Amino acid sequence: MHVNGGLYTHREGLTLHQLLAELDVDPRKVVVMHGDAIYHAGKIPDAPLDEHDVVEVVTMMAGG
Amino acid sequence: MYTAFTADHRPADDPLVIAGRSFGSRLMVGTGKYKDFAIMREAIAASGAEIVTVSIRRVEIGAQGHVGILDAIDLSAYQLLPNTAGCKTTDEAVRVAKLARAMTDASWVKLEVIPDAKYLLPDAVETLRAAEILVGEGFTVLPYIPADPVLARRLAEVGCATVMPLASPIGSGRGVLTRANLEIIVDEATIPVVVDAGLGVPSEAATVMEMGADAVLVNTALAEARDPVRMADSFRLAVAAGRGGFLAGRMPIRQHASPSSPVAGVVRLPQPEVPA
Repeated sequence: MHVNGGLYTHREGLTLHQLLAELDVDPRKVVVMHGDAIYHAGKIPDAPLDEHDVVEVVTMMAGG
Repeated sequence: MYTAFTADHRPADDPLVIAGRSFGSRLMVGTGKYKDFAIMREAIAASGAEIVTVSIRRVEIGAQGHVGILDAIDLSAYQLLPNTAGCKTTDEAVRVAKLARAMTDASWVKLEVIPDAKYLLPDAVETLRAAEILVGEGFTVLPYIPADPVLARRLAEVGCATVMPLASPIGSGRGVLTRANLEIIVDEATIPVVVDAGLGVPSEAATVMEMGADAVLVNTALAEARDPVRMADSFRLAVAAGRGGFLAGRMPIRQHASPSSPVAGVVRLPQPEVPA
């Protein structure tokens, strides 16, 4: 599967919450795009992940 | 015509109104490029800004903690203006705007569609296209644009909340290089004009406010100043001074001098007697 533009090793039974935990990401501070679906910070479902999924995990950074 | 004064003997001014929201400050600031978050916090406070820009980025996989701006400032104190910086096409900008909406729970977006990395000049065609889509999806769109009066009008027609024409390239500090076009944009504007990008010193902010711009956005001029907090305070004063100068109405420009003291009654030396 693809996570933030890079390859990520998928394994059977992996879910979105598990992925975020593995990435050491606080789910209250990120937005997740899973395929075409966008999930608000703090409202990310524990959806099962497929080996062909594309996931984006984004947050707010400084900027002009 | 004289202006009304407030209780503290300051001349009254209308608030800046964007998409129905009122702001006392006409200076917006970015949050990028600061040496550390403490200086950024102080500078933003000194600027008096109520609208601050942020960016949306992928979290860095493998980085501990992902210290983003969420931990650095009390975001609830500001109207957040997430940008689409880094987006090169309409599709990218629309996607980032949607991620920003999910991140901020608000629909304001500073639309930037910039294919060119050297001068960071916005793509007018893609910006207009993206603006139409985002307005259609309920976003409050503040597009960053070249100082093009025709484009500014088109963006107003499709429902943008403001236009944000550039003074000179982003982060260049070259000042107001687009003056003639900015004057036309301001003259024809039906929505607020926020001059964004390229301002380096407070006098340049005052200059565009005197021209009638509704607001100014700066980032690098503060972040890269030797003393960002003092510079933020100075930009605050300059924006207020420029705004006051615009409202007060400037004197006419003359080709020749015009004395400020009465011409009659000047005390002169006695004239020497002229022999008959």
